[in-house]
Amino acid sequence: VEPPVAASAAWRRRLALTVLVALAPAVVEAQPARRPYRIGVLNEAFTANHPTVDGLKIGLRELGFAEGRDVTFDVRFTEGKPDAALPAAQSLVQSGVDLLFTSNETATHAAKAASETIPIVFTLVGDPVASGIVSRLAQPGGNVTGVSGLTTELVAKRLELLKALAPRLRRVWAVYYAADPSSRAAAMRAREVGARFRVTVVPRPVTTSADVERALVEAGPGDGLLPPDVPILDIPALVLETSVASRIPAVFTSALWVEHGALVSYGSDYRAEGVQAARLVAKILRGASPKELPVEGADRIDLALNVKTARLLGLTPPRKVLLRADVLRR
Amino acid sequence: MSARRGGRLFRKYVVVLVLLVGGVLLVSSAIELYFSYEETRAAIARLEREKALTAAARIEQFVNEIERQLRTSTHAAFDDPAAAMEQREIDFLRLLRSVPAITEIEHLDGAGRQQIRVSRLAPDEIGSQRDLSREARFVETRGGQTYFGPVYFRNESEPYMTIGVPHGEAGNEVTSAEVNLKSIWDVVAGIRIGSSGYVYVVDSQGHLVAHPDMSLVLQKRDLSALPQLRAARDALKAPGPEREVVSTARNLREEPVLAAHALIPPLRWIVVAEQPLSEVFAPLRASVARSVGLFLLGLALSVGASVVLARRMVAPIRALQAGAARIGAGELGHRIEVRTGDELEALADEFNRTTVKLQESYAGLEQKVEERTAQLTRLVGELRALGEISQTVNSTLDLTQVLASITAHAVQLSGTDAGTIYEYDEAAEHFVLRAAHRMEPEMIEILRAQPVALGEGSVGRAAVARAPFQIPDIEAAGAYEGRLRELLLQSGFRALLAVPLLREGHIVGGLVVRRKSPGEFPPDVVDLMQTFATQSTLAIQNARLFRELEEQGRQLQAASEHKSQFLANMSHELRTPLNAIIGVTEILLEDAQALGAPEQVEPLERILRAGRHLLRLINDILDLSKIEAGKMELHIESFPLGPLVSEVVTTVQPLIERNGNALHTDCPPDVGVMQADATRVRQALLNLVSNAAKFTEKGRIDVRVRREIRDAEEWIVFAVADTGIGMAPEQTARLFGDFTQVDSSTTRKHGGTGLGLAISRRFCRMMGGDISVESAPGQGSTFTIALPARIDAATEISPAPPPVPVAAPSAAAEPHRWSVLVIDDDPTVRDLMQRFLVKEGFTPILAASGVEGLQLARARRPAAITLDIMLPDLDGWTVLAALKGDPELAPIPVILVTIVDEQSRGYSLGAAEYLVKPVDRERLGQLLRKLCGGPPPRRVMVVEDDETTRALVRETLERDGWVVEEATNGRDALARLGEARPHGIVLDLMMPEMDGFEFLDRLRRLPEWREVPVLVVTAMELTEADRRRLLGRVSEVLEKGAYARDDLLREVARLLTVAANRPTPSATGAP
Repeated sequence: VEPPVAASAAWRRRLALTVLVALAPAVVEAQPARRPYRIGVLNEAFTANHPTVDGLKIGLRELGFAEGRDVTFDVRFTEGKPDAALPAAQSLVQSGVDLLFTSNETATHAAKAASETIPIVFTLVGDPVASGIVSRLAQPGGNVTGVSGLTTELVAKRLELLKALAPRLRRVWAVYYAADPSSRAAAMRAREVGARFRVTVVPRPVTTSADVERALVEAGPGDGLLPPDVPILDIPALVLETSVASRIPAVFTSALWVEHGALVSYGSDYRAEGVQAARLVAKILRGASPKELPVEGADRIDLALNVKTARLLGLTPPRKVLLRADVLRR
Repeated sequence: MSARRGGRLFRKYVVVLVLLVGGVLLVSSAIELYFSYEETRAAIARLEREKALTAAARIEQFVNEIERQLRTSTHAAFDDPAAAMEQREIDFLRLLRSVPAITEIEHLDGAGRQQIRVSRLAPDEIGSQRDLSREARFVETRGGQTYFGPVYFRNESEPYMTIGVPHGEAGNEVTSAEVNLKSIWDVVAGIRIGSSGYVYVVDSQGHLVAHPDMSLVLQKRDLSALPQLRAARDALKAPGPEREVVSTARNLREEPVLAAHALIPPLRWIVVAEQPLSEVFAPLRASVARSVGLFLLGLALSVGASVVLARRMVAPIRALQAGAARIGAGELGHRIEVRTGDELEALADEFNRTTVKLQESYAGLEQKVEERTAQLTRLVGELRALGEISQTVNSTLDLTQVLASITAHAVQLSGTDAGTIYEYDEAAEHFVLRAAHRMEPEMIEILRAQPVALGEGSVGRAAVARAPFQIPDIEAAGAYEGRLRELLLQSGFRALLAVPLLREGHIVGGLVVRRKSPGEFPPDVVDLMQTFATQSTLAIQNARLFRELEEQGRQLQAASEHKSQFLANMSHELRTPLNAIIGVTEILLEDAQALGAPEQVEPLERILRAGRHLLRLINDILDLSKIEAGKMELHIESFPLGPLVSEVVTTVQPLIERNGNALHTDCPPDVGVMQADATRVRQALLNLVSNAAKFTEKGRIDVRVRREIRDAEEWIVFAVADTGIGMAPEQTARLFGDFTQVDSSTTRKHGGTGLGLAISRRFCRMMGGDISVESAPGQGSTFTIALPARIDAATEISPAPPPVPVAAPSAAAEPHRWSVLVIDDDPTVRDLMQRFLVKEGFTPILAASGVEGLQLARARRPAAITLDIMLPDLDGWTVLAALKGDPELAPIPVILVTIVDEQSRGYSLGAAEYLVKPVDRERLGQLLRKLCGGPPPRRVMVVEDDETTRALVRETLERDGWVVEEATNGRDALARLGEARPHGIVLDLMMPEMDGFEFLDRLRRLPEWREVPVLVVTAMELTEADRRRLLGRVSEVLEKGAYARDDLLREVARLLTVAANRPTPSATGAP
């Protein structure tokens, strides 16, 4: 009788192989986790926790991206220096980020200049078409998309608001950074629609901080101020100073300034814009191409009113304004 | 093969079992999977439907809420229009605050004019009174129903819809709102089905209203083509109880999805819920994996079980099979072990029993086979030994070797230890030891020294008895008394067997084998030894015969050699004096003819004829003896046939004419070249033609030459036909015998040696051809020579090397241009040659030995050399080699003139020509003229002061072929003599400066000029004193007055020729 030893050894091997094959799918599924996405954040803020960045983080968290595990943030803020944006953008690109999240036009332009391939999601761009960031809102093309702050569109509404608060308003100074096309577009729009509210809007392009000082000195009683929404040359802050110091009413683009004592603001909520942009960021991180994602208009437009400042300026906010106000500082 | 059969059975069992178990498992898994699939699908479809319904409900609720808000905001009614307006504005502002989705709100009065508009984005409008009565929101609400406008996009990206609500007392006013539908998007985006399922909304036109992927909405995608929507739109168009429609389709990304939908009737919107099938069936995949795992596990188990089971069943069968195979292969000791306790075990036992029986019968058979094999082996050994011996006997005549072989085989096959073979010397009546095998050397020594006498020892006794004789035990007393007894016993031999070698009763020898163990030799050994004895007899007999034959052959060969040597020597001895006889006779004959002595001519001619006949006869005999001795060499060369034939015809022409015959030659001009021994071909053809001429009188002779193809080879056929006496068949049969003519009388009548045909035929046969004859008495004969056109000779001699060009006749060489050096030890030959050369116009230089010849050749640089081979000091070969080895002498052509017939050697040493003595003078003359570049000119010097006479003489002589030199007086002539030696001088006596007499005195004083013939032509009356003065110094004196001018001149020419041809005796003097 032949010894079955060799055959049974071979058989055992075959059995082991079969079991291995059966288990194979389970082994394959246990893939190593992907490394976190790195998001480069670039803005002109003076601190790292700009409201849009907060909004982005909140939005991403709501969409299931945990910071540290799924995403990390590399934040660069240029403190309002126009020249600092491009080097910062380039350094982010060189550090190998997966996506650039920008706020304001300058940062967005810098990001565009630094890379034509890394997806860019912008916020706080008042007029993306006018500023040349995208060619069309519905189909932005290139590697850029984002949330538009509707600044230009809301200029009329701001003038209406300022006039409603200060009915004696005759002239409004629209001070803006000369090289910023969207600010310029907003100023021009203001000049166009000013007559409707029996107000003369004077666009005042400036190129230096000294220009700003000079422009603001010209504002006197019966005048109003219309600062741009971009903080280049720190114009909004200077306008706020002038407004409070010279009791000249000014309408701002963001509730941020009302928090700091500005009279009134009408514009998108920065944090909400960040949250809104987080949706785009998430889509891109999940594989969508930025050129197919339309530029969205800001969802939330807030009216913020500082009652204290109104009183300081000797103004009584009418009921209609109060009814409208989303934020009231007393 | 058997293993494969077993394997097949095993495989069959395994396959069947696996199929059974695996099949059951597979079917059950498939059924379970099918039901899981159906259940999952239904569950998901339900879930999707629920989600769609939820979404629809929420959207409907959203829209309804806005509609409600719009309706409630318009309740207030003031009488004061301004107050009402303000109140409305405030209401609207509140509405904006409370409903974020509303971006603008507007009020139109009953006429469709805008009363108020409040906006989040644009400046407010109060009392603009704009006529909007044609707007859809106004027109569509006329019936009192709410207006839901189509979806549109602000800033290309914000979805909006206009909702118009009619109100007022008449219900003709309208409050309309621009509603941002992004919140619907939020609703839609918030709904998730599983992880990647989603809900989206399309309007009645199929345009996207909301989708989690906002960009799709903004791109205003038209989805009406999607199949899942077509079904839903059909449902919209045909209102009725809403059916639950679930479909499997593809979404925008072309993924297969499971889709369900719900309707929002007031908006005529469709909510679609979709989930990719991949996800729908994700839970199913786990189930599938489980099932497959289970199936595989089951399968593995079943395979394992099958294998074990099958092995159980197959193993005993395999054991049976393997056992049977081993038994079948002859391993009869093998036993099959199967312990299954069933029919298989019984079968194995049966096998084993059969095997035992088989083994037993084999054992007996094997024993028999072994015995037979041994017998056969022995027989084969004997046969082989005999065969080898026969072969040895037949292949060698070395008797010692044969007998040694026989002895060795005999010892080996008889199983004995030693053996010897003796040859019987009949004369001495004793046996001589011829071969021994394994015998002690000292014993051999004794046997050699003292041959065994007849009747002595075992051999002697066996021979006497003519029968085998054996001694079973030498030690036994009285068994063996031979003188070798003690020696044999010392060497350990105990028994011996002697067999006589007999031939027809005669004793030839004896064969003895010795054994170291005592005992009788079995009969078959005795028989075998007798066979060996017969072989030995044969071998000894063969050897004896051969020895005799060899002895006879040697004697015969010696005799033959003696004969040939004798013939050669005799021929040579005969030819040498004959040469002299013929040569001298020729000269005498010429002299007699020249001097006009006709009474001497006839006897001289007879001598010459007889001499020549004798010479031919000797030559023929010599040729024949050479052919017989195999010493005849062929000198193969390429030569044109035409000239050869015409040469033969020319030669035989006088003979033909003598018998009054007509000769016709038929030799085509293109017959070409033949490669053979030209001399022999010429000889054979000449023989046939001259035979024909001899035996035909007043008849016709035809010579025909043809090139023919026989057996694919080219042949040359010469046919000589005559109309002569013809021959009977018995005569033709004897024709080619030696010394044969048709009858002896013809020899006397026609002459000839009778050897011609025999020699010719032998030559033709040597060249691969033959001579044949057709003839009948009175009908004439036709002789035919057929020869291969190309005879390849191992030592082919190319046509005589091109004659070495004669050294350019430079000024220095000029005096020697016509000189010929004759090297021969025979004074007669030298004399004949000198005469011949002088007559031909050459200057002879004579040398009696090789050494002298070489010296003269160097000193005189002759134009040509004739060389004998047999010389006293250096032989001709050495001289020839020396001449050709000297670069300065090598260009001089050498003609070998000798009795030795070794042409090949001569040519290979560089001889230009080879002539066999006696020399054919005509041919020698031709050769010399050829080698020297033409006939030597004959020079004559005309010494004459009268220019007219000089010119006349010159002209006449030149016409006769003389080269004439002129001198005007004796001094002039003497001066010119140095330039070229004239063959003769024509001298006038009366001349200025130096007259003829003085010239003659001076001329004859110079030794080299003493011999030049001088012809005096003078008009002077010679006195007696003058005549005496001239006597012995001049050849002839012609007095002008005695002749007519022409006669005089002719006489001058004739006498000069005679004088020049007559050699002067002193010229032959050896230096």
